Amino acid sequence: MIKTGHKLLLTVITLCALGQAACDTERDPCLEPVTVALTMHTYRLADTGTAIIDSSFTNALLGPLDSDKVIYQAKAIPAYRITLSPMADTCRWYLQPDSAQSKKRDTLVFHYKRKLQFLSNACGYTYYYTVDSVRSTIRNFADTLHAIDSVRLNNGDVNGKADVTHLKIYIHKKS
Amino acid sequence: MLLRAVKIWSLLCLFLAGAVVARAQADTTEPEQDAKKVYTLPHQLRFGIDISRPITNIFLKTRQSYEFQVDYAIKNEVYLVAETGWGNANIDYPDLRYKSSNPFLRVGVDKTMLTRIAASDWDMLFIGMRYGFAPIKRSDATYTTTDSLWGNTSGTIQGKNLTAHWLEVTAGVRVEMFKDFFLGWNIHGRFLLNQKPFRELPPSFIAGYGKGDKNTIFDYNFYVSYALRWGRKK
Repeated sequence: MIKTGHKLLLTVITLCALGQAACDTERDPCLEPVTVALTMHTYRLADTGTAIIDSSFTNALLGPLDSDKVIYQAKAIPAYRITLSPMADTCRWYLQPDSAQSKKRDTLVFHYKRKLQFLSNACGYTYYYTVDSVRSTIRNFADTLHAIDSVRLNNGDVNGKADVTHLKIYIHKKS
Repeated sequence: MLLRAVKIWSLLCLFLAGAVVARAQADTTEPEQDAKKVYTLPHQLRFGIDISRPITNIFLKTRQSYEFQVDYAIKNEVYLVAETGWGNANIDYPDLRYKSSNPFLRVGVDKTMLTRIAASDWDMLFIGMRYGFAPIKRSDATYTTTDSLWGNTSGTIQGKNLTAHWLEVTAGVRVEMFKDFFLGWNIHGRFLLNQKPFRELPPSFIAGYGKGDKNTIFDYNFYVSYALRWGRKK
C-alpha cells in the first residue's frame, strides 16, 4: 500500500508527464538528402608514362544543357556531383573546362531508368536512377573545341550511397 | 533527437519515481511471515481510459487516437489485460498527403512486483507482455518531389489495407487514489513483427502502436481506472 504523500507525488508526476505528452512533434525532421546525386571524377594521362592521374580544371563550368543555370564554377576539383532529371529518362549536361572560353565545351548525355523511392514520412519520396549508358562529345584529331577523350560508366546505380564514383571522365592529354 | 532524449530520460525518471514509491511501500510492509500471508480476495475487473490521448489530440492536428484498458485479476497477482481503441492520421505535408485509420487490440498479462499487505491493497508496480494487432486502412497518397534544378514532380500512390502485428513489453504503476479509482501509467517497448509490408509508405501513425515507419517504438499511457469488485474468490 502506498502512502498518501506518495500518492500526491504520483499525481504531480502524472500531470507533468501529461504536459510532456502535449509536446509530441507533428513530423520528424528529415535527416537525409532528398535528392540523390551522380558523382563524376575526371582523370587524364600523365605527361610521362601510362599512369592515369586526377585531372582538375582551373576554372570549369558545369551545368544542364538548354538551361542558363550553372551548377559549378569549380577550381581545381576533380570530382563533380550532378543530378539527373526526374522528368525524363535522359538528360544532358555541359562541361566547360575554362569559363573564359565559352565555345570550348563538351556535352554529356545520360540515359537511365527512374524509380520512385519512398524515403520516410519525414522526407517523402525521391527518385533513384539506374544509368544505362553515357555518351559524350570526344576530342578528335586536331580538335580544339572538346576536352574529353572518353567516358566510362563505373557504377550505374544512383541511389544516394556515398563514396561511389559513377562516371569516370578521361580528359584528353592535350586539353 | 534532443527532444527524444529528453522524453526517454523523463520516462526513465518516471519509472524510477515509481520504483521509489514502491520502495517506500516496501518499507511499510510487515515482517516476512506476514508478507507470505494468503488473502481471500474479491473478483476485480478494472476499466481504464488513457487520459494522455485526448490531450495529445488537442495539440497534434495530424493524428487522433483513443485508448481503453480492461484487466482482470487472476491468481498469484497476475492480471489478464486487454487494451483497445482506435485512431487516425491525416497527413497534409507540402510533399505528402494521405489519410489512414485503424482500430487495434492488445492482449496480454501483467504481473505485480509488490507484495500485497492487505486484502484491500490493490496498488501495483508491474511488468507485463502484450501481443497487439491493428488492421489499417490507408487512402491514396499524393506526393511531390522537389528539385530546384529540373522541377518538381508529383503523382499518386494507390491506397492499401495493411495489418500490423507486434509484441511489446511493458511496465507501470497503478495506485488506488480513492476507493475503486486508480491512477497510473505504463511505458511500452513495442517490436513490429511484420516489417515488410511497411517499407512502402507506412502510415505515419498507427493507433495502438505509434509511428508506422519505426520497427521499434517506445510509448506511454496514463490511465485513470475504475475497479468493479464482487464476491470472493475460492
